[in-house]
Amino acid sequence: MAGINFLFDKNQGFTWGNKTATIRWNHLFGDRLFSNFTTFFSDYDYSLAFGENSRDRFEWKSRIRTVNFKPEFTYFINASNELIFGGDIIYYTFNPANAIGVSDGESVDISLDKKYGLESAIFIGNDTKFNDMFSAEYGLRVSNFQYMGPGTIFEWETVTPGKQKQYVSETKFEDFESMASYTNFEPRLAIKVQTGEKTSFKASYNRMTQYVHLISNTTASNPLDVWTPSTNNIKPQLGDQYAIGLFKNFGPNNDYEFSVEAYYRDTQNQIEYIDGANLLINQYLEADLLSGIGKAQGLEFYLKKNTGKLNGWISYTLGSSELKVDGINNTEWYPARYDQRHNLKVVGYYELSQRWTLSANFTYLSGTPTTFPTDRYTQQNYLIPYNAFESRGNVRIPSFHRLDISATLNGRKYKRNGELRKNTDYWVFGFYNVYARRNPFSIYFSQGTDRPALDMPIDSYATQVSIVGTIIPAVSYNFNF
Amino acid sequence: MKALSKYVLAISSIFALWSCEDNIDVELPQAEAVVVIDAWINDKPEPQTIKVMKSISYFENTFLPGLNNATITVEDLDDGYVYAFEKSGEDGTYIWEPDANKSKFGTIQHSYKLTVDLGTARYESFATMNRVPPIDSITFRFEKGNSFFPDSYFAGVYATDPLGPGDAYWIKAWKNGEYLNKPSEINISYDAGGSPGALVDGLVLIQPIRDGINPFDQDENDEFLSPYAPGDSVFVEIHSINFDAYTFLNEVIVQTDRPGGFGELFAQPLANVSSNISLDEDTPGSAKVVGMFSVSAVSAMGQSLDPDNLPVAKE
Repeated sequence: MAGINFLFDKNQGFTWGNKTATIRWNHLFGDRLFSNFTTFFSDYDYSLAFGENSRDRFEWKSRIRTVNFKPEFTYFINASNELIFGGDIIYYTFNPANAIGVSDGESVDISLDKKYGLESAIFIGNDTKFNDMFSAEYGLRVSNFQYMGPGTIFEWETVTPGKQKQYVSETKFEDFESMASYTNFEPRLAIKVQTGEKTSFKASYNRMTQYVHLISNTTASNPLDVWTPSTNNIKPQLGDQYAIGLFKNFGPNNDYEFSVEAYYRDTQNQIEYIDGANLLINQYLEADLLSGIGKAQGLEFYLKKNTGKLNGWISYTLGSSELKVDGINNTEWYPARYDQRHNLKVVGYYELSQRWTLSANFTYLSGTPTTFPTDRYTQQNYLIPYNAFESRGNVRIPSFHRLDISATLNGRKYKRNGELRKNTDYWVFGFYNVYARRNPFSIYFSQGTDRPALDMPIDSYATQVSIVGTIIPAVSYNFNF
Repeated sequence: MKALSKYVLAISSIFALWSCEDNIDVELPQAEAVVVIDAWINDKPEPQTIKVMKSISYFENTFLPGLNNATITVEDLDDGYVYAFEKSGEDGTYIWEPDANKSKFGTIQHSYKLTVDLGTARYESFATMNRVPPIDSITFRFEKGNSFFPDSYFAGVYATDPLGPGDAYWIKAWKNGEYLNKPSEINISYDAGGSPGALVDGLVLIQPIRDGINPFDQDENDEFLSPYAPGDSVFVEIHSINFDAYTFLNEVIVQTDRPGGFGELFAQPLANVSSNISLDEDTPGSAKVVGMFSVSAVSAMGQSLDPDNLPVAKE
């Protein structure tokens, strides 16, 4: 159980929390069939409240409850085959907004209807070891999602692609009636070829389906983001991922590990948002959502040194992630919000003595895409940015890089009288962001903060926002007992 | 066991919330100018203005150049009356003056068509003059200060949204004659509530909108000032607007009232705001046009702050 409060006083602020419970039961049927039954309950809720007094206030609560039952069986066919099969049932209750507004003593309930979903799946898979060289894991999962009553479904019509959809009709449904249903086959296959003791190749394919969606179009997601089930309008997200990789160890004691992997993923029914989408307490939310296709690809390198006084690892990914949505970016591919061309991490440790270890940690990330205006215009003396190309993600914010260093002092292992200590402890002395880089996470455009004079043109600014623009020393003492 | 490490992590994550801002120079992509039409007119008994201009590069801190060869009319589609807007000056301003036929522009519930002929191109738009509720009262209240705010006088405007969905308002305020025109001071309401998806209708304007007529200015030390002081006056106008204009202003708020700092993490990305003006496709010309045509009915009231005459709090 966890919860966080950001209450400014008893009437204002926001809170969120999560309660979970798990019951697990294992049983062996004979000596070949192993079973595992899991029941999982989770209740995530958050609330937002503000108001002057009881005559004027606003309160919004939202929660998602899930109950999950998952029987899973493992059958040991023989030394080289292991069959796994089972099922999965998840019942979702979404309460997007239980909200009340009180204005001058008169109260209005602006709650949205609850939404219900039932996800069920059966799966079977086998791990086979053909011989010392070849092994494979393969399986199939069949999943179904029911968007269930009671509830109302809406029909929308796209008038202009990329713009808010128009209302056509709505239909009401009774308890447990199916309002939308989706069935998907999710096959998976992974092959491993071991060529010699220290080299292996892997290749895999899998399909994934996602029936519950996070609705957020801000730079970072936040605890008040809305989750929604698949509906008649919001189709489940499908992804096909292909990957191949080479894994190799070097040195007499496997001193070095090296791997290179390439992946390609294409997705269908990715959610996008119209410009100016209203995502909070909006019963017509679906009219503001768009759907598109996505593709992502990457090449990942990893090198690790395991032995010696100096060790550590380097990882590098060259990647891209793009979207294509009717009516957005002139219906051409554009980089996804989290698209990153380069991602480099270097971590090194140096053992100075038995008690002292030095470490350094460097990160480099390409800037994520953002949209810059080309022009300005005014309406009623407000300065409005305008992107005449109607493109998305036309510029990248500068890259992110940072070096952290630290020295760790391990506590003595033995007491003064020579006995082994029961507790272990260590000090870490470090500098975060050693060269004090102002790493930008956002650039925004705005008119000045002063009230503009009517007889003067309006000033405009580009402002870069950085998190932690300075070097931060840190000392921590850690102990285990 | 890891409790202490967790504690350290919690402190470092507070560091991670530190943010700083720098104004920077960025190179913007160059684009061809687009036609800008600024046509917000109302039924106040005074001259009505429409501006036709050209967009300029975002960082060019000058007035938009006017387009002075336009012919502009607004036609009443219910009674056929045509309001002709005449060129005034060289900055793209066109004015209709009240005359013997019409002492003011428009009639509530009537629909209007804007026509802007510019060279070979004809731009058009439609809008309806919606009803507007009268302002019931403007009241002041005194609140004791706290660590963020000094002792303050706040103003509140009361009006009751008529029953029936679809009424939208732009509530404009003037303090001692100065129009509160910061992007953060745009105050709009949909059926007395904050947004159309939330089914508020037929209420007194909700409190954040009632209080949206207070300027939150800071002194030279970045300390907040009381919105109003004894002797100050506030003047409020409620302009009825169409859903198009409501949507437009909502988008303008998102695009111009930037939270800055850490709040930018949760801000919406830059996007073009909508327009309800389009090119008549039978006429050759640039389809790139931005701006709004809006016709409003207006109700208004003024009040000055007399500290000896504050209403008793209704708690």
